[in-house]
Amino acid sequence: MNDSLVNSLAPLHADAFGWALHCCDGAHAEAADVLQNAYLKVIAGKAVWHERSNLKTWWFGVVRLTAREEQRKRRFRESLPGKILRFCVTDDASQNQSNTLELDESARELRNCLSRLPARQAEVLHLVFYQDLSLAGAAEIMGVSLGSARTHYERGKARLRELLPASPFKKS
Amino acid sequence: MNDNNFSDQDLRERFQSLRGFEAASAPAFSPPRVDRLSLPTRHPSAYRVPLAAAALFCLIALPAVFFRPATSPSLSENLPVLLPASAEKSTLFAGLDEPGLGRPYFSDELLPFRLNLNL
Repeated sequence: MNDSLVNSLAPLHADAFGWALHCCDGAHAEAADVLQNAYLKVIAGKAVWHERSNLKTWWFGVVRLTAREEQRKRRFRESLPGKILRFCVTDDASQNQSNTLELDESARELRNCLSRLPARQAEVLHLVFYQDLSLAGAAEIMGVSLGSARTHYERGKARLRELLPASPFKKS
Repeated sequence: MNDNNFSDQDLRERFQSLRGFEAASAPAFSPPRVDRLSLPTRHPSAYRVPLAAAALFCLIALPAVFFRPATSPSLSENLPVLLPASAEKSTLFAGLDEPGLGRPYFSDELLPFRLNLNL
């Protein structure tokens, strides 16, 4: 059952990796870890698709939550109590090497501009323009209402237009 | 602030370009197999700190539960009983005189037929 669900996620793998990469601020290794942990959740039965929503929408929601969990764990590891705990406990948590992906100029600019947007605005823009999802699908993944997603979308677009430098990529 | 006018289509093209780069660098689809899954073994000392925290919490919380001050009586218990519980034993307004039997009320003097005007 879970194996068949995991296999049905194969066509979404590249897009899910792109989404995980966005959730991890472009950190390649972290994104790969997040995706593997999300697959683990499905295999272990912790994440179950009830077919109430689209498979892609559900899967992206799982990836997003997993990325949040990983970020929380990383923040705790980097905090003072986390360092003390690691000092007391002999369980060495492996340090994540967050090597970022080598991108071309235009893609790097876009990534930088997205990182300067509020998280919700960047998420909705990624889901709509990158993943070709509808606003309703983006709202479902983000766990917000459609109206709220639309507001984030409009504000995000306006802010991104301000931030993006004019480049030869843009047809003039 | 830039005054460039990126249309939605321009933005989409930029995002799709980024998508192309990232899709090329995506790791191969290799979900972990169930038979290869193994629970991470944790050192026993890993449980020392959570256990110490739980014990500390109990030490603080238990006296608070067992030695808390007696609660004050409720408002309904504090209020005096104005009327007896059974209405048959006493009539309502028992303390009032029946009209015509007792002393006339002061306000009766104001009634017109009690007024004696000497013209």
